Amino acid sequence: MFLYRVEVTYTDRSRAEVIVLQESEEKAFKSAGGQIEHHYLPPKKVQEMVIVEKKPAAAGRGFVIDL
Amino acid sequence: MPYQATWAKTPEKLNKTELLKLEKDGLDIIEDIYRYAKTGYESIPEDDKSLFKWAGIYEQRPKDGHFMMRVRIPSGRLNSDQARALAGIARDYGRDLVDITTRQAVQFHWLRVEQFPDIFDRLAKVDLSSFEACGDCPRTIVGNPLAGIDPHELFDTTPYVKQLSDTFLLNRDFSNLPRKYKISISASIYNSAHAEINDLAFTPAVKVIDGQEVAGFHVWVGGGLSAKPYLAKQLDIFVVPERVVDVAVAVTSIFRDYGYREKRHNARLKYLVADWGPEKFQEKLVELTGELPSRGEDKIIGWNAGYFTGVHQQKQPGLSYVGLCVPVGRLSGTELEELARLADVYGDGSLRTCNTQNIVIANIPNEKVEALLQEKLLERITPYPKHFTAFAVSCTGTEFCNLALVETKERMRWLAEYLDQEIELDEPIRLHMVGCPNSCGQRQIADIGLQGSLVKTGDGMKEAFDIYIGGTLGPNARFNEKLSGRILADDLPRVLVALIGFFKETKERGESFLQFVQRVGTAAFQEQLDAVLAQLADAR
Repeated sequence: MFLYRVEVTYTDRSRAEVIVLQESEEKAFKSAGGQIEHHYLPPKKVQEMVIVEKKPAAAGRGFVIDL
Repeated sequence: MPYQATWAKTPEKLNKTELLKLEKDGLDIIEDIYRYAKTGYESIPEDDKSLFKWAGIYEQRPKDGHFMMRVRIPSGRLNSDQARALAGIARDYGRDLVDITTRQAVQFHWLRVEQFPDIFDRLAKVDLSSFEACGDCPRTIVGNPLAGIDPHELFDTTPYVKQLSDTFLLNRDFSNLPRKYKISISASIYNSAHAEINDLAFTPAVKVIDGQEVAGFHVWVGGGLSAKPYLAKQLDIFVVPERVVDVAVAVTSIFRDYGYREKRHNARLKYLVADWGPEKFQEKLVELTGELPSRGEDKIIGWNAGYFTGVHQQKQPGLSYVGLCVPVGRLSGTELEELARLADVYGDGSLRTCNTQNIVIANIPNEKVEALLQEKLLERITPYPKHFTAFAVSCTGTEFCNLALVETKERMRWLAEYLDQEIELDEPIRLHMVGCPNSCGQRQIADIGLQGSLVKTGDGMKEAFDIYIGGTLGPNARFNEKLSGRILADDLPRVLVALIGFFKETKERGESFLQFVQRVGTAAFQEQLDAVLAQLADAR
């Protein structure tokens, strides 16, 4: 399993970073999409979704997201 | 005197890897590997697999029982027997594949655990080793590949490289550091060992001591790349060559005893140096070494970026070295064996690997150079490569690396070849491609750096790249800056042709890419990138 860092740009030009735990890049995109659907109401439309980094998953591992 | 692992007193402040290292020193894995060679891949516990790094071994993607092995080549010095031994390992066990790395090491792929005892044995017979080429320990010593033959070196650093390597290799006083630890040493006035991106670096300097000008070193600490790049800081000390080992041992002891072990992502020496500052670091260093002279006169006057292709006179009259381009550092074992033969026939068997993934044949009598240049092998591994192929560097990428997001090696080779067909330039542009932020391909110091990512598109998942421009080391060292806008891998050729074309059309006579970036600024490149991305979007 890997931790994936996914950069998301929405059609309204706003941006987010989504971190998901998954076993492959394909599944990471799918999970990130699911998290986004779950997170926004009304829903936001994704313009671009990019995996920029992955790390082997282990307790204590993560990413720092600069705000 | 053995050291005390003071950090063991507070296990609650240690990460999981640190706890594992307290139970079992990384070097203990070497003996275990002989056992696993008999019991097979399936018998290796996960914790032990993570310690394989101390033997210079990583599992390669997709973790199906194959391994990568890295072999230390301090300062890049190889003799022909060593090269033949490496070629034999590649041919017999590694599908005839050899990669030269950005730290002058050599990497094999496709190895299996059953083969390691024989490989260790073959390496030992020619005085080579994979031990501590990876892991939380002092790795291979990077140096000037031209040490001893360089007309632009203050003095020959070969003996100091050997002393450093002999001091640290398999030394259990330093086999449990908080994280990887990289040393460079060079007396080249052109910074050929990339001092600023190493944890500890020695660079050429002189100082008048007791009325005599003495040649020695300045010392830099805390450099490194990866996701958080940091340029090493110079200390206010001057080190005579005879004290290089003392100072290196002291710096490494400070890292071992004061480096951070709670979180692996901030364990590199650069985090300690950033927190302490060079002044406090130096105070601690002098406590260990005793008083050291203050800084003298820096002798570095520029940066050659580690490139030596072509035929060049050595400092020894009548002798030349021939620098050969190995496209993206990849060659076959068969080619390496042929290089060994050429080194014997035309020179004295000396080869040197470079941190630009290239190779040098040294000590060739001038009258033999012309015949060497006619050899068949030099048609591909050539001293006269075209510009982009000559200055292209790449990491391993998804072909073998578990952390990479995109394929890099073959793509960079192809891309450089394409640019060579499309663009004629009188100034080189150093292109570095990496498959993830860890930057084994040293993206941050490139003229143009390309960092891979994966984009979800309507047509599925596609490989893409961010572009960075304007990196350099040496005087005015700085990392390259990111341009905004992600480029699909298929669009890279067109985008690069546009950006490089902008440089070619707008630059002043004799202006280097770096000088151009500094003059026009990254904003000018951003405008060009925006325009070409808009054209690509319109065309879709």
